[in-house]
Amino acid sequence: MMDLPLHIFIALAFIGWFSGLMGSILLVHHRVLIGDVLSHSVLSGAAFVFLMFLDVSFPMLIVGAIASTLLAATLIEFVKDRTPLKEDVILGIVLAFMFAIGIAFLALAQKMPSVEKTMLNTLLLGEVSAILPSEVPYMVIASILGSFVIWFLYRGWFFTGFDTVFGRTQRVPISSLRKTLLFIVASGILLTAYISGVVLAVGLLIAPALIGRFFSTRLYSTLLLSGLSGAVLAVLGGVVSAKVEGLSTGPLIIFSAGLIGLLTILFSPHYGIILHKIKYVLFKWSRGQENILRAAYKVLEKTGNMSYAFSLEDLRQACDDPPPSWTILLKVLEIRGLVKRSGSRWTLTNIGLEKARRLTRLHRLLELYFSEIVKIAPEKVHSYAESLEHIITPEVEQRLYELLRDRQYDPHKKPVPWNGSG
Amino acid sequence: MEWFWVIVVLLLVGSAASLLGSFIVLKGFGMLGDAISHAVLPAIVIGYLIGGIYDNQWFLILAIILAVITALSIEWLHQKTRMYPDGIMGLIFTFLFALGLLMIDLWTYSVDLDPECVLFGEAAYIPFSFFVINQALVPKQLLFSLGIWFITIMFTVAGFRALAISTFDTVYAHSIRMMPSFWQYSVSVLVAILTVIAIESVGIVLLLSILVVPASIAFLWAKRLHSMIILAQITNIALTSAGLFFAIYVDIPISAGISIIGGFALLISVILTRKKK
Repeated sequence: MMDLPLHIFIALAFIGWFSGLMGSILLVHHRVLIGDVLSHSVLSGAAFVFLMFLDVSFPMLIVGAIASTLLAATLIEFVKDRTPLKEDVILGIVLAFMFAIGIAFLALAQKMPSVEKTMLNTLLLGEVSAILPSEVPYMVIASILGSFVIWFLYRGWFFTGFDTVFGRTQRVPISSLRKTLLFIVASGILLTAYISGVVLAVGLLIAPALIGRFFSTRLYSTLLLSGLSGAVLAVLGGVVSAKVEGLSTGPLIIFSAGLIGLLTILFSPHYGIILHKIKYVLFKWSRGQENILRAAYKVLEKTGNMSYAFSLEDLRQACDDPPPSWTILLKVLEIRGLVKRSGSRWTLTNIGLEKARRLTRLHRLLELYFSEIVKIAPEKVHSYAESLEHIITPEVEQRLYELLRDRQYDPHKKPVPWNGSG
Repeated sequence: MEWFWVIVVLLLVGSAASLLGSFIVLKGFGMLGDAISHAVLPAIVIGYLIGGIYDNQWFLILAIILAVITALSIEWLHQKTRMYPDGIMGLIFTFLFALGLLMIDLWTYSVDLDPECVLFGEAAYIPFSFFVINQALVPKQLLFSLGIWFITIMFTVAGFRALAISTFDTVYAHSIRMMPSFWQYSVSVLVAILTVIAIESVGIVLLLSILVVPASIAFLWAKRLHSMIILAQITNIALTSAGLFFAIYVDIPISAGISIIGGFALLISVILTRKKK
C-alpha cells in the first residue's frame, strides 16, 4: 500500500466488498446483466444533475444517479410485468434507452462552459484517483448499510434464489423480494461505477461472485467469500495501478478480477473445467500403466518364466483394455523403474513384478468376489473387475484379502498370485 | 450527398439488425450484441497497432474473429459449466473491454484511439472514409453494410423454416435433425459480424437498440412470425427517420436520438398492447 493513499484504500476495500455481495445475490438469481443495465443508467442521472445544477459534487451525484437507476429498475419491472418479452431482451431495451439518454445529456453538457464536465467523462470509464477524502465516509456508510440490508434479507434470498415454490408455501414474499434485490443494486451500483466506470461495473460484481460460487457450496459462505474477494480484488487493482505508471485503475481492477474469475471457472476444485479434464486424462494414463503391467504378468504367467523378455506384440495380445499410447506409457514405466528395455523387448524389474502381481491378484479376487458373493455369471465378472481394479482403496483391498484368503483359483480357473511363487 | 449516405447506411444496418433481432427477441438473448460489442475492443486496438488509423482493414478482420470467438466461447462455457449464460457474458465482456482499455493505456502513443468513440460511434462521420471504385467515391461503410445486409437477408430466406422451427421448438427441431444449435450459432455469428461493422458506423448503443427495439415492438403487435418480421422492418424505417430528425433538431448524436425515440415507441407499445404472458 506504499503509494496508495489511505482513503482510496478504504474506499476500494468497502466498495469491493459490497460489490461482491451484490454480484453474489444477482448471480444466484441469474440476473447479473441487470447490473450492467443499472450501471449504464448512472450516466444519464449524473449528466442530468450536471445540466440542471452545474454541480458534480458527490452528494448531488448520488441523488442523480440513484434517481436514474431507480427509473431504469422501474422500467424493467414495468415492461416485465406487462409483456411476455424475455428478461434479457427487456434489459437490452432499457440499457440502450437509458444509455442513449446519458449520451444525449453528455453531448449537451459538452457545450456548457463549466470545466467540471470532464467529471462526467471520468464517470464513464472510472478514475479512482478522483476520489476525495471527503467522499469516502459516504461510500463506507453506504456499503455498510447495503451489506446490512442483504444480511437482513438473507433467509429471503435463500428462497428466492433456490426454491421459490417452497418459499411461497412459507409465506415468503417472493416477488417483492426480487424487486427489493433490483432496488438494492440500483442504489448500490453507483459506488461500483464510481471506481470502475459505468461500462465495466458489472465486472466487479460478477468476478468476486463467481469466485464465491465456485469455491463454496453454501449461500452463507458464498456471500462471505464473494465480499472478501471483491475487497481483495479492488484493493489489488488499486495497489498495482499505483505502482505501474500509466495504467488506469478501473480497467486494471476489472482486468485482474476478470482474469481470476476466468481462472476460477477453468481450475476451481469442484466445477473447474480444465481441472476436471486433467484429472480425467491423468486417470486414463495411470489406468493404462496398470493395464500394461497386468498384460505383462499374463504373458509371463503363460511362459512360466518370470524373467521372460516380452515384445509389444505379446502385450497387445494379452491386453483387453489397450492404453492410450503403448510407447509413451512403456517409457513412463521404464522411468519409474518398473520395466527394463533391451532392444524391442522388455522385462519386468523386481518392483514391477511385485506391482504386476498385486494388480493381477486384485483383479482375480474381484472376479471371485463378483461371481461367488454377488453371484454374477463368471463370463461377465471380468469387465466389472476390469473397471473397479483401478479405483479400489487399500482399505477395501485389505478386506478383500481377508474375505477370500483361502481361494487359490479365480472363476476362470487361473491361479490367484498370493505370494512371490506366482 | 453526405446525408444521403448516412441515411442509407443507417437503414441498411437497421434492416439487418431488426431482421436478426426478430429471432433474438423470440429466443431471448438480447444482451449478446452488447457483450460482443464491448468484447472486441482489444482486437480493434491491435488492428490499429498493425495498420495505422487510415485505410486500415485489419481491425475489421481481427474484430470479427474476436467477436465470433467471444460468441462461441460464451456458448461453450455455458454448456460446460451449466452456469446461466448471464454470468459468463458479464465476466467475459468486461474482462476483454478492460484488457482493451489497458492496451490503449500501454500504447497510448501509437494508438490514437478514443474509447468513447468506440462506445458511442457517430453516424454523422460515415461518409468520411471512401473507397474508389471505377473512379467513383463510395463510402467504406456503405459497402460493408450492404454486404452484411445482403448476407443476413440471404441467410434468413434460405434458412427461414429451420430458423423458425428451432426458435420456437428446439426439441422438435432436434427430432427432425434440423440442427437447432447450428442455426443458433449462425445467428450469434451474424450478430457478431454485424456488431463489428456497426461499431464504426452507428456505435454500440444504437446497435443494441436496433437489435432489440424494432423487433420487440413488432413482437408486441404481431401475431405471426411473418408479420412480426415485416413489422420490425417498417418500425425500423420509421424509428430511424424520426430519430434522425429528433437528433438534428435538439443537436445530439444521431445514435442517441434514434435510441431514445425507440425507447419511447416501445413504452407506448407496451401501454397500448395487451399481450398476455
